Amino acid sequence: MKKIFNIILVFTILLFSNCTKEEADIFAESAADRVSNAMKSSSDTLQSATNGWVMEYFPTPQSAGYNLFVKFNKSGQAIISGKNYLTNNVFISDSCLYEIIGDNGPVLTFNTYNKVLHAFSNPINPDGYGLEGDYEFVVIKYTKNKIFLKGKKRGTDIILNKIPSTLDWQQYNTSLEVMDSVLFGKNSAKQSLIIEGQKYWFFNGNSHIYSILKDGEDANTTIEAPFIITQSGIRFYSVQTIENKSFQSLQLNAYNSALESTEDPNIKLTGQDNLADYFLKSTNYWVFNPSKLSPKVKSIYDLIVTSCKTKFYSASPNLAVKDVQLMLKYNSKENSFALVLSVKRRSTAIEGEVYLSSLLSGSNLKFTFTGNGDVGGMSFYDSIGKKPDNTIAGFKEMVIFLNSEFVINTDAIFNPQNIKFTQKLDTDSWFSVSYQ
Amino acid sequence: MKNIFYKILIFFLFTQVFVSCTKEENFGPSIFDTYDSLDINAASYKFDIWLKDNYLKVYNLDFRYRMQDVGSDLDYNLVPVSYVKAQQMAELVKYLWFDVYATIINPEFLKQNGPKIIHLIGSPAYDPISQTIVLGTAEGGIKVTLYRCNDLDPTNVAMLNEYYFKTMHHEFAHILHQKRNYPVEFKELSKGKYNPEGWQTLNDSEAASLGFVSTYAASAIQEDFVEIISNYLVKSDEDWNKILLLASKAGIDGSGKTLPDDGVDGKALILRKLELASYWLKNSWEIDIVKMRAEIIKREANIQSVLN
Repeated sequence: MKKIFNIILVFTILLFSNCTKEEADIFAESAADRVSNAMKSSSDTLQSATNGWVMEYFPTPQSAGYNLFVKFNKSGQAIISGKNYLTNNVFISDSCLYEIIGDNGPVLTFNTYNKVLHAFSNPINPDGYGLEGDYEFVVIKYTKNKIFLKGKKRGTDIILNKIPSTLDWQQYNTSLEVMDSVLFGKNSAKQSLIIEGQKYWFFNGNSHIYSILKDGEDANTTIEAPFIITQSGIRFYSVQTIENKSFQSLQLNAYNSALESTEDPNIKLTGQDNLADYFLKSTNYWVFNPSKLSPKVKSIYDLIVTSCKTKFYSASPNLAVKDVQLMLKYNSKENSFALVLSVKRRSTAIEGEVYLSSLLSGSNLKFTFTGNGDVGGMSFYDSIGKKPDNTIAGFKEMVIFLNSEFVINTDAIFNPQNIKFTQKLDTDSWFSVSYQ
Repeated sequence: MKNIFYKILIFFLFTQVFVSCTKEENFGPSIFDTYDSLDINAASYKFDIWLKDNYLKVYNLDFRYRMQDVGSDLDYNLVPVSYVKAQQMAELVKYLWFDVYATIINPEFLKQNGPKIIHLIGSPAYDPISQTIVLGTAEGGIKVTLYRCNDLDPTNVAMLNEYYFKTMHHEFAHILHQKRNYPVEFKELSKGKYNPEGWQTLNDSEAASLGFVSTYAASAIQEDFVEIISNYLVKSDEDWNKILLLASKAGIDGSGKTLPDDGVDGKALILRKLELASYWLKNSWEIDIVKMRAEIIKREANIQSVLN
């Protein structure tokens, strides 16, 4: 009897325990409703930017970053603008259609062709694979002013930053170009970073993919770190960790001498320690900038240009002079700096150079004319009475002017693009040269 | 005693059944859009309505111009078609394909036999390894994908023919032979000459001398079959005769050397293939290929007026 009672008891418990309670819903809404709401909310956020977004676009995690400008209209049309080598360095805009589709959560797809965006995905560029950029992005998270996306195919992290309503896109882009020019320009000078007493070299910044190598280490230990230009400096695609210190965003300091981490001000990517020393070790051409010459130097410079045009025109009227350039360049054969005069005609250039020995004097630089040069340079310098007489008026005066000590400085020691030479004994006499 | 136990047990089990089944789930409205979702304020509204009126309502065909990567071949890097080119292509597909069949056969033909999805892709599908590109695909008689649509130049009829219209007729011929087999004799005509891996190394002269109307025709029997049809349909008399002339001569390889006589009369072979294909179209589908070709060529001369 007791046994029966026990069995009845068990069944009674089962009866009351079954189906009395339902599992509480973890989410207030169904999965379909949540996806639908997320899509609506993503769409509203994208369209909320009346002046659009700047898209920090990396085709792949290994590629340099590009700034694109995007506006999402309520009609389902997106306007995208940008300026980069794929647009032939012209700021262009194009429209396309976009949608937020439900596909592993809300996905932003630009599903008709846009010349600015899809150029990064087009397999035609350059070899059948293309740059492999995404044009469909999972919306990961967003705030009022920032949207985090992830490329659907490549998994690349893309950030959209809301653009203030008063800021013109092209002006915004120009400010980025100015930053790029100050930081890198044409010059590929290396920068350095000292962390925990260890020095690291940062190369090839002008490619927007830094090659990072620890001082003294083998080149095959170099790592590559893509980044994008921002209004205040650069942002690496991913967090960089060196000697257990992490950083991702760097901003240019007030002296244009270093990029400082916004995460840790002690992390500084610095430019050149000694400008004169840097200049002496550079191997490229430094071209005189005709718009940045003191009156005295300008008069000599103009004399040279006029003389070149006259002399070479009278020698060959069919080959009118198109351009005259004065340049400073290290001549490794002669182990000496040289003042180079280049005269460009229709399809040819005539060059001559004279040699200047150089001496570092603290932070100053002293040039001394060696009395030598190549055949062309010496004939430009003085060939009076010789045949042919190729003496260029003003060239000798320029050599004499350079035969002096100069104080040198630059507007951005981080990566010098322009260097100003001021004569130590006569500070009213100066000239500027630009990296070429 | 035992009886009482079983009665109680049955009573409890019976009760359980009713307790478990007393509540019904209330289903809300469908989560899927079951209404006309075209938004009159959408930038694409005008075009979408046109597609609906000209493709969806008439042919029950989904004309997809918005890129759907899940609906495309994920082995390739592809980009969408531009909105402008999509509109041009939609007009041309209708004018040079759907309207042709409606005129020559009857309006019902493509409703019954045509694809149900046309998907436009902006770029070609490049295969960098084989150095080839895919211009179109037909899948299971249902879906036709047309690639390279961003290169569409309505002023260049030769290019339109080569890259688009030939592709349309090529892919549709695939759909037709997937429904009704092509003649057995056709399979015997160039047996042993097909080269699925190396067809792209042939030039036009080599292909023609072997009895193939194009290099791609040399890749497989079914490609040979649809290439005969599509090339004949879109090529002018002048261009078709050029192929026959090439086929009547000995092949010349890439280095300029004349190939040894292989005993194949290329021209006769191409004409026999065309004869078999024409017969099959007539008997299986009631399509007069000569009439259809005349209609297509007539329309090709009138493309500009369609796009304006």
